[in-house]
Amino acid sequence: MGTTLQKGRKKDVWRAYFLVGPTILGLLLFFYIALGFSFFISFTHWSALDTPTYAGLDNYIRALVDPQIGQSLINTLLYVVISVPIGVVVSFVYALILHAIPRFKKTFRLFFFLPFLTLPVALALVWKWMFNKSFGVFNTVLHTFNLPGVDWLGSRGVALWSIVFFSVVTGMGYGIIIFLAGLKNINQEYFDAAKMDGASGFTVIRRITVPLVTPTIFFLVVTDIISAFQVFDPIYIMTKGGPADTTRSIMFSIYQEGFTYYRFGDASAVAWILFVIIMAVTAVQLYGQKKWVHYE
Amino acid sequence: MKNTDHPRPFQLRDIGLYLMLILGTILAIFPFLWMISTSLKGPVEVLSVNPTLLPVEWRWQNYPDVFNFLPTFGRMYFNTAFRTVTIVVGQLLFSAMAAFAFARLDFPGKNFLFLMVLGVLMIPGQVTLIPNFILFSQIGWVNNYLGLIVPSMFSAVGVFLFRQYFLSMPQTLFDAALIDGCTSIGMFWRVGLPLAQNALVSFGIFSTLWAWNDFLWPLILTNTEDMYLLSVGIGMFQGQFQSNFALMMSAASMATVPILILFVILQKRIIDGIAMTGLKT
Amino acid sequence: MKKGISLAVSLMLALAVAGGAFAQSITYGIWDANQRPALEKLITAFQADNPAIKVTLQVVPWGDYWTKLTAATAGGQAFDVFWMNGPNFPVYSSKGILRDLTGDFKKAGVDVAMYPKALVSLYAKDGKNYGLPKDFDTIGLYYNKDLFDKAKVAYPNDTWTWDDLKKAAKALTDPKAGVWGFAAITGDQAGWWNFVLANGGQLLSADQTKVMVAQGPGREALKYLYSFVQDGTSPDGSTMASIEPETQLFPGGKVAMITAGSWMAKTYSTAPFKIDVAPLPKAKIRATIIHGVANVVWNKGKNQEAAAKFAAFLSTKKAQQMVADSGSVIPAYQGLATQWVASIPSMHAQVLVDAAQYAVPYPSSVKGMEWNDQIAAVLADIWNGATPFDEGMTKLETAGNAALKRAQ
Repeated sequence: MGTTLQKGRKKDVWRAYFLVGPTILGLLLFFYIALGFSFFISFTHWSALDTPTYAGLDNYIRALVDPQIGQSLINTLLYVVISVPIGVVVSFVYALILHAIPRFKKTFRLFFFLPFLTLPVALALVWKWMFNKSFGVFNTVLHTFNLPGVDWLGSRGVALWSIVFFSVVTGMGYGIIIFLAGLKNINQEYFDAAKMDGASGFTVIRRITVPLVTPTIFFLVVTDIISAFQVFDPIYIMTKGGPADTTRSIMFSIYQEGFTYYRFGDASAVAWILFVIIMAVTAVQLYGQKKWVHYE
Repeated sequence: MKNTDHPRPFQLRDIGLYLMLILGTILAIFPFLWMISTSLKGPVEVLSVNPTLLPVEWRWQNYPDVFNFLPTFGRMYFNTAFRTVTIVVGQLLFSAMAAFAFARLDFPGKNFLFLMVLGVLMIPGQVTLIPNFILFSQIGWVNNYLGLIVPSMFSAVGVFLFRQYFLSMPQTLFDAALIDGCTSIGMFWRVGLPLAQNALVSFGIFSTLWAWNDFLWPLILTNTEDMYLLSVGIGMFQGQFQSNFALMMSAASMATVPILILFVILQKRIIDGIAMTGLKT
Repeated sequence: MKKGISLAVSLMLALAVAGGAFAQSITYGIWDANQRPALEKLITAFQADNPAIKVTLQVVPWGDYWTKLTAATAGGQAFDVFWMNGPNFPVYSSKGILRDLTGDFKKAGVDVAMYPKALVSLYAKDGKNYGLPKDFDTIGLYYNKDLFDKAKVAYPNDTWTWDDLKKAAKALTDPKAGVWGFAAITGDQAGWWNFVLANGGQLLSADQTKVMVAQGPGREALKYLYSFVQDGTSPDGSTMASIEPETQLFPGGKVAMITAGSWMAKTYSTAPFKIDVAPLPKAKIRATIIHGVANVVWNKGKNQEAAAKFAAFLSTKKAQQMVADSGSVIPAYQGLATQWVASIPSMHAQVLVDAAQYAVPYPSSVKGMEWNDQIAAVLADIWNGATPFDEGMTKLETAGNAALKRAQ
């Protein structure tokens, strides 16, 4: 792991605090205070329009008992488990391809990046139309191959997968660019040595590339899992939690409890439950990194 | 030995690679093209059930019309640009600083503070919205640049990303500077930061995008139209029952242009990369 | 002597300047940028009569209006005067943040009786008026005359019953041409609420503890609507969920008839084919939902009196007249609807105005609208085939009642 650059001298500790200071201070002031407030609110009933009233553990109990909120937790877990591995693998594969091709790198990189340049609302609306059962592009293509159309957003078993599909395709540009930065960082000497030893392409990838990008993989997996737990936009625009609550995510429930039904106490309680879950999952990953992440 | 400066000759397997790329990018390009094409359509064609990619009638008038409908559009542009630049500079600088310390220095409380940073990532965004707004109302940071910019200048993701990056740098890079008697801060500024240019540019792009499209917090924080950002302004084209999609996409396309240009310019930067020649002599 | 006069003059000047400097600033929050020109006109007129008050119009995109208003209120920064609608009024009034405008209306000479009774009661609580509707909308049956002509079906009229609607839809559906006869939308205000009521049903029990649409006349009405989807005379739920019937399918000529609000009339009149409107078909009775946006006042604002004055002004006959012909909304003040009707000569728009006579007010409830959202979610599942009808009715009743219970 990283090497210490000082020998525990007091001045150097202050230098470290100086480097870390602005961020810590900023996060304390602009996140943790608000977080504390929301923790307090989770024990109250609050409409945001008037003053909170004490509610004890009511909100938490309700969150654990309510079937819709329970369903949203299951859906979210499912979504995380499906979308993150697929997303990371897809990004990695395309990053390798981009790294390997001789020409038009710039162009394709730009193409992958375009979803990020499209207004998020426009992006979701276009995909919603593409998913349309009668007029959408996907079913039109299927029909031309004489295949039956799919009810992408209206069928219970399919809807969540459609959301995953959307997220992976529109998000892979991010992973690709992060991987490309990581790949660039690999010492060319490793590749040269492998070439001299006559190693095949796949072996090189397996034995050299992958281990050396594990810090990048780790970063992507951790951050992707965290943001997958918070998936909201595509659900809000495309399915509103349906059909039959199969795409209801926790963030959607949190948003609804708060901004649609003016129950911010409940919203905060659910948000805190989510927070704890994410923390636990991340902590497990952080401990596990020693086992598989290779740092120089 | 660097990567060759001239592209290597085509091989047969490249066909397969390019096919895969095309497949992957079709879906990525399509919504963007649709956005542009919608921005040039007339109001009736926009809502057509069987949309065509190319407009039947090219309505360039949509673009000036955006300014007629929203006279403050230009001001929104400035707000967004100003805010984005300051936020990105802040995020890159502060995150890199903290990440360097977390990755390569030792100090009491290091792990705890890092967990604190990570913790922020895990806070569901909307939860802090109203509490922060209440806080900012108390200190008078509502509807001004202070409230818009300062809270967003700190990025937990950035710290995390740069930390990984700094961790993967071999110690040998720093030994030379250490021998020369560089302090930790000097090490950061003279060695770490320049070497992290790839990561800075990569993260910088996403940081820019995120700041440019940021919507919810600016919506809540701003009260007067002259402080609105583009993201909020574009939302104005969506009505309760009907929306003017054509104008909305025109506005959105105009909002996209600077980022597109930025990305195209910076792409070269990414490709040129940093030569690791310093080690191989 | 001269000194005295100049002192008096400068004192008067100072007072005049001070009067301007101490101008009371109020904000007026709305969600429709299209109505901006009309409202600016009103503001100018108001400020001319009240030079000490400065009104700033603030437009917030509709999709985020309530989010913003909630956050703003929490932070003590709500708009002084703002638009309110039926579903949200109970929450805001029950939390005690709206000002009772009854006295202000009297002071401004506003005659409350000149507004549709059903709507006035929507924004009243305990006999006090918290706002007056500035416009109203009803629901009508729009139809594509060209498609009717092609299929040689008689146009809808005010004698139509549900059977007539069914028969016509069947005759107009043409799978080869990709045309459906009727869009059985899943929407509430423009859709199933009207049908439940027309069948003599209720949405909620009188004490608002139970959902009533899963049984009796309500269930029949829903079954009737669903039958259109079942026999293919209406697009199915999935199709209608991502391609909007009101704004795309119907104006795109894919659907021959649709129930939609009076707010669509102006837009439909510009369609490439002829569209007209008829009253909703009768079942046991004739019913339509009426709704209108009201101007309300925040009762914790710094310049509340000024805000109340402005809000009252907006409801005077003079103000209503100034914006009567401005656009897509029907002015609420009695008699002014004729200008709106005259602005849409290609349709029998009067039908929509007359509908106010047999209209039922928007069913906003002190229990909020969560019960309705639960019902709507189940209906959406039924409509796109994810849930069978009977199972859906049970589900919707359970979920709706649970929501009502939650909203104590």
